[in-house]
Parts: sequence; structure tokens; C-alpha cells
Amino acid sequence: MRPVAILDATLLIGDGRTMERGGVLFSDGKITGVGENVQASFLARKIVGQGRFVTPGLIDVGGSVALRFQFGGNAATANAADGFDRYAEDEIRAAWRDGVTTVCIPARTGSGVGGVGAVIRLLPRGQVDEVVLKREVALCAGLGLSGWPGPLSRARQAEDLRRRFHAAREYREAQEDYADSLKEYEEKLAERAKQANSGQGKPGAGGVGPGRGTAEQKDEKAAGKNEKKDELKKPAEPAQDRAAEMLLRVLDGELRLWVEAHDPAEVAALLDLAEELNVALVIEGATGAHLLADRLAGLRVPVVLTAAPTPLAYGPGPERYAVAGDAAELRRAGVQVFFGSGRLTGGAPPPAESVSGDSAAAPRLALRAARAAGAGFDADTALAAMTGSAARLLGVERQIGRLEPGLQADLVVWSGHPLAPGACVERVFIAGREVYHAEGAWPEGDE
Amino acid sequence: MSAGHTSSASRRGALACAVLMLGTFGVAAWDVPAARGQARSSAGRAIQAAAYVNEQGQMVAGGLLLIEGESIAQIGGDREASEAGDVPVDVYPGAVLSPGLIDCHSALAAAGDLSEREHALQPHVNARDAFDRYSHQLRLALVAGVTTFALAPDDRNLVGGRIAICQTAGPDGWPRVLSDAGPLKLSLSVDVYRPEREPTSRSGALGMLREAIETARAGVPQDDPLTAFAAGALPGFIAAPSGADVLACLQLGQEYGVRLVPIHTRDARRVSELASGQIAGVVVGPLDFSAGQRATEAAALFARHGTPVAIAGGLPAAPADSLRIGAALAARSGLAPAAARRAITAAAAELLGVGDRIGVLRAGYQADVVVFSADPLDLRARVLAVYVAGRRVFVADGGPQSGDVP
Repeated sequence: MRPVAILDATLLIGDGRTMERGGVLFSDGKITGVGENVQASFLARKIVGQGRFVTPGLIDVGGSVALRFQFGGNAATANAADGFDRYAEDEIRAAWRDGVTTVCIPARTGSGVGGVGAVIRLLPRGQVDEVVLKREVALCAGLGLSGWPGPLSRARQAEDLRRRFHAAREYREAQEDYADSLKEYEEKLAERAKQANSGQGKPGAGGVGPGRGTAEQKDEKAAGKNEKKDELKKPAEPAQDRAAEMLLRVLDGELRLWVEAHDPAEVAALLDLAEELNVALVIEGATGAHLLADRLAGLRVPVVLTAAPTPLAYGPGPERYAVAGDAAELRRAGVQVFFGSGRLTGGAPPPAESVSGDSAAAPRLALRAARAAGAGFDADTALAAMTGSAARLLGVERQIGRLEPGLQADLVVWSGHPLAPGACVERVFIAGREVYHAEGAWPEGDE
Repeated sequence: MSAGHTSSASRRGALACAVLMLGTFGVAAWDVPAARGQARSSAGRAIQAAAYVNEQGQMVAGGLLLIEGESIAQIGGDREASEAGDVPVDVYPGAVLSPGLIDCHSALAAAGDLSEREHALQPHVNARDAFDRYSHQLRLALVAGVTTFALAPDDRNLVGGRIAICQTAGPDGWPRVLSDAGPLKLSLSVDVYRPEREPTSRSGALGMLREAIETARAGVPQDDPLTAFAAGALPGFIAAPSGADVLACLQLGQEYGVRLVPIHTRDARRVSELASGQIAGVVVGPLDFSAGQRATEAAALFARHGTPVAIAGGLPAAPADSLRIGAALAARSGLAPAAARRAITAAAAELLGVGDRIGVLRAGYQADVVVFSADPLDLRARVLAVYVAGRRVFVADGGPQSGDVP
């Protein structure tokens, strides 16, 4: 592939730093040079970046772009990557137009555990290994999003989630008991076979010392008694429960627990749960979480801000806790804050008209961040929260999220600062390929 | 005097409770209305910022604004060039003055539902009667820069009733009804079709509407809103989400001479050209972050074909800053910045029929002013202060502490 050079642009590196008048070089899908004095080879395709801004492709931390499945409340083994429709080009294009190249898609569910979330690269019709950047990000659950809203159902759903984890622990204990008794059974079986064999030979052939011999004889006696009692019964194998095994991976610290909730009472219940079970928690949605900012900071629980579902009527839905200043308030307390587009279609499979053509919902990440900045959130931190910090949260920082040699060439050329009014996405590159080019964008400056 | 003092103190307490409960951020101080008759605003005051939004919606340098009583006395220029020698001046360095934002279709501060369920035709209803001036929602809208909103019957009735134009604050500091003679509210949205009453279909809805118009035209001239509407004297705001709905509005306008303003329009692809010159304007939105391209570009398409565009905010179901979010989304989808600024101020006032009182910063107009830290279209900009009818009713943390602030 021909190398590409974007020159003389303002580079927003992705870690909060800005480089005025810099250049980015990339070839074969990876960034090869970033800096004020990068030298583009004469073969390279050159793009004049004057007045333009270049950012890493934005990461929608908690989106639902081209997500086609609503996960049931018991499907802990489901994976969101399987619900991603690689052929939903309209939706993917709408995301590009907003500068988004990667989406973390939680396995969304109304209540209970929905499955495992995945990090998806918005490469339409791409090969699975290109598209799925990380298959297992976190085990996802929902709280208070389905059923009759109210404190009782909320308390019950939190309790249900807690019970599932305790049930998973019991499952492990049962499995361990089974493993123990199976071992015992096999030992006995082996002994009996040995006895049957030693009918001809000497008993206690394996014994070395006198002490060992007597111990074995005692064991044999005891074993003999047992044999008479239960006829050497094979222990019953407990049913395998893959969902419980998934939950155990969370309890073992292998996977994060990612819960969508839109009520401070639910956030508080989740923090209690995380403390009790000692699991790594991420809270998505988090409407009203700013009321618990200090606790979230103390427990180091990151928060992914997504819009609360719109209430059906004018009643006091979760939006009554939604304030533009929540991001700034959380940040001031020391909470890590990220931005996501949330349930673009309200969770249910979207109606045909809203995903086809230009009706497709877009993530609008940059405007969400601008709004947070307007309420006091630092603009550079906001940019990092959509790029470098987001990649770190999701564990893909070695692949994407910054303008840095060696990382994937997923980047966006903007007509102005991404948070400024009227700024448009002009070009989007994924893996070095130009996947989007706005009409009327700046001409190429091929010399 | 002492009664006035008590009421303002209890109001301060009530507001503090509301704000604490809602966790509103950034509300550091606000002016409590002084005892009535003591308002400093009547003595005249000046606001000095770096720039202001002019009548065309452009941002221009020189943000000096003089207030006399409830009205704007002078706009533009700077302090030296003015005669603002001896009036108190609120100085906001680097800030931008904008007309107070206007949400031209909302359910803000509505006490209960805004529609009757029994009959689809409710022309005699006036939304003014549902206005709850003590609603805590009003303060949230005010601190976001919304000074005026149209309290409108919802989309569930074919003819929903009269829209009331309300303000989040008034000359005495309290929310008020500015005019209860707003446009008539109609709807062609799918919400009109209800299983328990007519109409249940789109053709049924249009049939009923035609019949109502024709009956009103044939009868003895009466002083009721439907007659006025049918005679083309009273404009109607009609919920018309799809392109086909807008087309139906155009046809009704041609057939009967009724003045319809399509609202909640989310599709302009095919009708924006046909609408050119046929309607007084169109109201798009509310637009939120999950709106698709087709909805966000509707404003730009109508504007391109010469139709004035206002953007609705959808308060209170949407967040208080949804008007600016809508304008920012439309601007990102091709609406000129000046038109986007007008869409949430002047254009909205004109369509509501109060364009001769509010909506622009012009001498003689009511002094409804929002002080932004930057371009109102820039979502990074903060609301620094809000003035309604010449009185400063909100000042953010760090604002100038002159003027009315106790």
C-alpha cells in the first residue's frame, strides 16, 4: 500500500498533548512517524493539513453502533461481538462522520447479566480478526432498565445480581467437592483393582517402611468398611454451568463487571456489591453518579457517561438526575470519566427506518465532550477520554488510541478543533485505509 | 415590606432545596427578587461584553447593552462611545451577549398532561391554564439560558388548543405568562391515532381536520380559535414529523389559506424545495445526540430553500441545554451559524408571533439577554448570566458581583 503523509496539521496526540503544525506518516496500516519535522518519502500520498486537526480515531466507550441483539437476562456466555452487524454500513458510516472508528459494545440487557462486551473496529465487511479488536472486555449487566421502575424492583434486581455471584461461588464449591470425591473414588477404584491383583501377590507391596505399612493397612480397613456401606458409588457430576463460570472469572479478577444503571440509588447498590465481592467495576450510563463522586473515586470505579433513556411521558424519569455538569463534578472528585453514545435505539432492535440510509443514529461523541467541557470538564482530558485513556480502559492501548509510531493508523482529519462548533470530519482512515472522505473536503496536495 | 422580605427568603430556600435535590452543577448564586418596587433595573443599567449576536444572528464585536426599565435602550459600541457614564455596569470580559433563548415547543412547567383524551378536537383549550409557575423545572431552564418557551398542547390531539408563551422569569423575578394568544396547536403525528377514539388513521385525521376547517368557515363567524385559524387569521403549529406530513400542510394551506407552521419535522429531503415560499417557517427538533443525519440536516435544507427555521428544545423531557445542543447539531449538519443562532432566538419569536417584543437585541425590545462565555453555538461556552426584562435573574460562579446581587 502506498504510504500516506498528512502534513502541517494540528495533531491532538490522544494523551492530552497537542502538537501545532505536525505531520503523521503511515504505511501498511501502521503509523510510522509523528512529529514536527517528519519527512514524507517522495512516493507518499500527501494530504495538506493546514488549518486541519488530526486525532486518533475516536473510541465510543459504550456504544451500540450496528448492534443487532438484545441479550437476555441469563446469557452470561453471549458475546457482543456476535451481535455486531459488519454489514450495517449506514450505521458505520454515520459513526465515521462523527470521527468514531472503534466502539466498545457492551452486551446490553434490560436486567441481569447480558454477556461479554467486545471492542469492535468499524471496518465494514472486514475479516473477523480485523473487526474484533478485543473479544472479552467485561461481563455486562443492567440494573433498573426493565420491568416496572421503582425502588422495590430496583432493590430486587440488585439483589438478584448479588445472588448470581453467590450462586457462582456455590457452584465452584460444588465443583470442588465433586473433584475431591471423584479423586477419592478413583483412588478407591485403583486400590480395589490393586487388591484384586494382590490376591495372588503380597499385600502392601508398595510399602517401604513399617510405619507407612501400618497406615496403609488402616486405610484399607477404613476403605473396606466404606465399600461395604456404599458399594463404591461413583459421585454424581454436577451440571456444568458456563454462565456461572463466566461470573467466576469476574470474581477471580480476570474480567471486569460492567453495569449499566441510571439512578444514583442503583450506583450506590453497585458500589456496595463491588466492595462485598471485591470485583473490578465499570459503571455505564451512570446518570446521577455525580452524587456519589467521592465514593466512586475512593473505590477507583471508572464511569462511562451515556444518556439516560428518554422517559416515555413527562414524569420524573432517570433524566431528572441528568445534568450537564456531571462529568466535571466526577472528574473533580478524581473519578475516571469516559464518554459513550449508549443505547442509540433504546435497547430494542432498531426499527428499519432508523438504521437505514441517513436516518442512522450517530454517536456524537465530540459534541458530548464539548458539552461536558462547557460545564467545566477539561477539554484536553475530554479528548484523551475519547482516545488514549479509553484505549487503556479497554486494554487496547498497544493497538489504538494515540498518534504514535507502531500503533494502528486509525485516524481522523477534522476541519477544525473536534469540540468546536461547525467542525466536520473530512477524512477517516482505519488501518491506513481511507474509509471516509467528506464531499468538498480540502483537496489533496500531491506534489 | 416585611411580607416581601419573607417571601423572597422562603423562595430562596425553596430554590436551594430544588437545586440541591437535583444536583444542579454550577449554580453558585442567583439573584433573589428584591422586594417589589425596589428593582434597580428601572433606574437603568449597562452590560459590557466583548461581542453580541446581532439581528441577523451574526456575532459582532462591541457588546455594550444599555437597559432602561424592562427594555433595551441601546446595543452595540463600547463603553467610551456610550453615555453609560452614571449607570451601574456589569462587565463580562470576553463574553458574548445573546438574546434570551426561546424554546418554541415545550411542556416545561406543565401541571399534568397537556392533552384531553376524549376528543381529538380541543380548540378551546389554552395551555396557559396548565402553567405551573412554581415548577422547579423553570429554574433549570433559566440557568441554561432559556428565557422564553412556548407551553404547547402535546401531539396527541388533532387540534390541541392554544399555545401559551411563557417566561422563566419576569420583571418581578417570577416566571410568568408573556402571552396566552399564541398559535393554535395541531398535530398530524402518529400520536393522534388512538384506538379509543377517532381518528385512528392518517386519512381519518386529515378528513376530520378538513371537516373542522370547513365547518368553521361555513358557520357564523365566532370569536373562537378554530374559526380564526380557518379564516387564516391565526397561525397553527402542526406536528408534521415526516416529509409526507409537511406536504399535507402545504396542501391544506393552498386549499383553505390556513397558515400552518410544520413542527417536529425530521425529514426535509423531498419537501424543503416545495415548502419554499409556502409557509411562514418550520420548526425542527427536538434534536438530541442520538438524532440521525436526516433529522439534523433538515434545518439546513429548509434554510437553503429560504424557509425560516426554528429549533425546538423539547423541555423538560430533554435536558435544559437541549436548545443549544439542537442548534449545534444543525450547525454541524450544514446550517449556517447565524441561522442556527436565530433558530433558537429570533426565528422562534417570529413564528410564535412575539417577534416584535423579544428574540433580538434591539432598542425598544424587552431586555432578555444571556451572557455566554463564547459563541452560544459552541457547547463549550458557559452561561455566565441571564437577564429577563432588564433584571439579572442568574449569575454564575465568578460573575461580576455588581448590580442586584446581594
